[in-house]
Amino acid sequence: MSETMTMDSKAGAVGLKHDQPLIEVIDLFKYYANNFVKTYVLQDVTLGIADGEFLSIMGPSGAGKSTLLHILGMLDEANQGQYLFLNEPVHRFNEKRRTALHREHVGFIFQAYHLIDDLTVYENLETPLLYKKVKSSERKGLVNDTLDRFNIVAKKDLFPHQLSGGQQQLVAVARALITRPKVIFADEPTGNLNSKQGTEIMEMLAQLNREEGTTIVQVTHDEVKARYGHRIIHLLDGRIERVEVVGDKLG
Amino acid sequence: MFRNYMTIAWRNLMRQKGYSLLNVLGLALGMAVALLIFSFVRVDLRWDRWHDNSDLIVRPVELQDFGGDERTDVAVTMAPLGPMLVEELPEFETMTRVMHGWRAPVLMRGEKRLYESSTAYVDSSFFQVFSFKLLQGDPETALTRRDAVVLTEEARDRYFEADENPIGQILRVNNQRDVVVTAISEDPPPDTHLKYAMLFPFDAGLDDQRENLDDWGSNFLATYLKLVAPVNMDTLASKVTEAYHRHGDWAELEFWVQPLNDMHLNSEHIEIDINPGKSSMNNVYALGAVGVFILLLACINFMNLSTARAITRAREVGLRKVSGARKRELIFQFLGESLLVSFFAMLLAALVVELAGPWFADVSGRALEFNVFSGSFATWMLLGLGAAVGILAGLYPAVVLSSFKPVTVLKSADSRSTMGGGRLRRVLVVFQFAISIGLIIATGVVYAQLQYGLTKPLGFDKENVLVMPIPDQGFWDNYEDHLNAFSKVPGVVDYALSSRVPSRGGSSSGFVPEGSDRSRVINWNSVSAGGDKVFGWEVLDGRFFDPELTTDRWRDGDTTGVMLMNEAAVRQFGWDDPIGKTVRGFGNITFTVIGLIRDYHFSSLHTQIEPMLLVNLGPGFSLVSIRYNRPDAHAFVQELEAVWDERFPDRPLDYVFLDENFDSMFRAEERQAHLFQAFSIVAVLIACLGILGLAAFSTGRRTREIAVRKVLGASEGRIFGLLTREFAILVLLANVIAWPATYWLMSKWFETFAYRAPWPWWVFPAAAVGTLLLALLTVGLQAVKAVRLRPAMALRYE
Repeated sequence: MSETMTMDSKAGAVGLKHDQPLIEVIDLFKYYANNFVKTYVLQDVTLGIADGEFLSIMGPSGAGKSTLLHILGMLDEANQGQYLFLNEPVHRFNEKRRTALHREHVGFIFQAYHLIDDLTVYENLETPLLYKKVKSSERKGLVNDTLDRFNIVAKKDLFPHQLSGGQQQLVAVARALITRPKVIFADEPTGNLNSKQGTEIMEMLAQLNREEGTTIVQVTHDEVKARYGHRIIHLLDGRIERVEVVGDKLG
Repeated sequence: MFRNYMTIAWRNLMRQKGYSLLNVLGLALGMAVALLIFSFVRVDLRWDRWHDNSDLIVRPVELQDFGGDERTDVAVTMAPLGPMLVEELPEFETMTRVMHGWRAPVLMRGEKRLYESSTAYVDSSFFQVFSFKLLQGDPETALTRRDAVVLTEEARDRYFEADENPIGQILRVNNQRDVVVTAISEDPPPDTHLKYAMLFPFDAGLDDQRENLDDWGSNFLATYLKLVAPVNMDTLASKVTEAYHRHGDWAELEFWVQPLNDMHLNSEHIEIDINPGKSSMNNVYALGAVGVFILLLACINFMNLSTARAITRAREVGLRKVSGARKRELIFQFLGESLLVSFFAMLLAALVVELAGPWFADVSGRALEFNVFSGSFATWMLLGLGAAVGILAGLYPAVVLSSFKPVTVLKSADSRSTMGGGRLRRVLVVFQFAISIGLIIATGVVYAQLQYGLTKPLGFDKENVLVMPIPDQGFWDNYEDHLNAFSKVPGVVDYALSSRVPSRGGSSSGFVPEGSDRSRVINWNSVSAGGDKVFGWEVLDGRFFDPELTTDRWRDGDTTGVMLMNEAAVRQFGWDDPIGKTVRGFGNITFTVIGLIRDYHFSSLHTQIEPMLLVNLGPGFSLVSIRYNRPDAHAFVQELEAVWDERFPDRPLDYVFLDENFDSMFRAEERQAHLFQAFSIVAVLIACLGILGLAAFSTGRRTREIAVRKVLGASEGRIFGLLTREFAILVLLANVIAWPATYWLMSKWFETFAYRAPWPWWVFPAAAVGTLLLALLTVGLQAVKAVRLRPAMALRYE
């Protein structure tokens, strides 16, 4: 049942700017072999994500949300199944090519912010550009633009531990966006924040999605935050239990 | 990118000051010691190889085979050998002989009168064979005139002012003849066995032994030959032996040919050798290994501390990978960090070397200069060490760190979870301590042997004996009167004349014992009556020379004489009772044995006591030895000097104390002991720095565990035990490994001595207890800190 729903939703007109699929995973399995017993984390997951979509993944603890997100974000590999990113067969790529694809198109946001403690805000923002080998002058421009846009110019010389959680997450979002990725994966981005800060971050992600067409895939526990997405994938014990199309986004 | 890495590296260093300091300090110590050792060894490896044609210069070495196990390699030759070889064998282009004078001449210029103890008589082709540079004068002609003298800069400065031109100036030798300065040579560098302050033409040295010039039976000088082109040494050796037998008549004699390049490190087995400062390949290997080991110890600290700390860097690695870092880039980053650390260590090591350099030069007895900041060998060596250590020590942690999987390290809530490498760390700590323990034991053994050598009964009494050379002229005419005057100085107990002192062996010649027709080369020393009292020899049988019996003293023209011999000589001759037997020697003089003396050590403890014959040859004396019984040696010398100056105004008094003279034989061993001591201290220090870092880290990681245990009721003592036990076990394990390995190695070392100290067994437990205590102290400091922590503090933040 989940399968048909997914296939439907792939074609599903959810009011997106672009209809071609950005990501397609088919029959994905992920398990851990331990003492000859396979413990399945993901089973038979088939899912399409359109370019420009805002997708939420929900489910109880241990349902495989984060694992799915890591696989989609190319930080982890499935044991079985296909993964197409912009029609490229990621499941056949070696780590090097996967990293290259990841670097080019993917941004990540974590629940625990995960800024590099020894680097200032400015330097944290600069790091992904360094790995992308962006030229110095261009890098400076990009970092300064981003600082401006997120209204954190005044904080650029501070270290992470000098910022509040909300501010740190803001920097983390800015860092994920600075390379202009096609898709941002967010792993419970508001989990450590109070409700006001959480709302601000969610508004920012929604705005990004709306105005710049950045695809966003978030994992969340929170029903309200999930509803920022166009669709909500409900996972249970590693399987897609159901796909919910968020009504008011269809309008 | 680079700046980004360096920023991180720098901030990391600053954030963990204690850890960084341990790392930098340990590495710096290791590098400094390695640099000192490698510089020292480098001198050995380049010894005499700086001559332009060092690969073409060879010397003939005599192999005197007495049958059985006895073989003697003798690197001094007869005078006619060199010229004959150049004449008859086309392989040789030219040659030079080097002959050191029997006695130091007195050189005079104006008011200056100085003994020149470092003189040599050489052939005029000396500067064609060797590459000592002349600052003034022509190398072709410098030594052609018979009254020429070549001075080194150092010798020049003793006689001439800076603004004088010494060329063509006159010096007077022994107040007998004048010589003309024809050239000024550079001072011989430290890395050559040919040390001289003055060179005279070969002819000038033969005044008192002209009869030796054509003698194919007397070995008394060194011969060096220059080849036309490289040849096979074995073939050459047999040609040299053949050529010798066309002239000489010693049937058993064979020659082999030693390249100059081998002389320094491959002459251990040559018993009679004019080769000051000679070392051996074994020494080079041993020292080099110590250097490498100490450097390794420091690198291990670095690797251990870095991988232990990897856990705290894991999150950063994960993040960087999520931000698009390739593995290669992360490896570069961490290598960069270790290079930064090793760069700081290098600067500190440069400082250490600058400060410790003079001390090391003193202890090692080698004039080494470390101009670390002037682009010398030391500079490049240090840069090389810095880079090598940075990469070597950094590579393993870099590979470990960069292979962390972002999903694992970012997901896990407890970023401090153990992450492997623990076993390797323990193995490395054991290795470090094993090396330290080995060095401590080696130090103990070397000291034991040194102490043994210095305190062993020598068979003679070296204390309270002053030795002075007999002046060439003005002595013999009136010698009884002179000696009488010396004996009147208060404190003089007895005196004797001799050709050599007991600690310096003797000359050797061929002797034929009664009942045999075969000649053997045996050491002999010419001593006057009274020698037994002065030198403290013990006469076991028969009697010593008697001053009252004129027949005891041999005079020119006598065909008979008397002699004493030591126990070793009796053994070699295979006699039961030597008294009354006869020995033929020195041409055809028959000596009757009148006494047997106890074996005494006349050379280093490396060699067995060899046979020694004591004769009493009137013309052969060159030394006066005086036994005195005054505690104020200095005042005694002054009073003696007053008598001397009155009688020999031409020449200053020159003297040595016999014990100093003897103890100098142990200088090499003493140096070895000091070096080992210094190195083992450094090794232990580095190992302790290492476990200090590891202990701090592992205790830090177990803070929570300690707190929980305390809450559950563990006593402070138990927790202390928990934290220190692990390291104690490692150190004990290190002992188990180090003991047999060191025992084996040091047994080999002991075997190089014919007379060995008993094994100092106590050094084994001493090394074990010492390292264990030091380790416990180091770890204990950390443990006490952890034990004292109140549980609430630790648990609150978890």
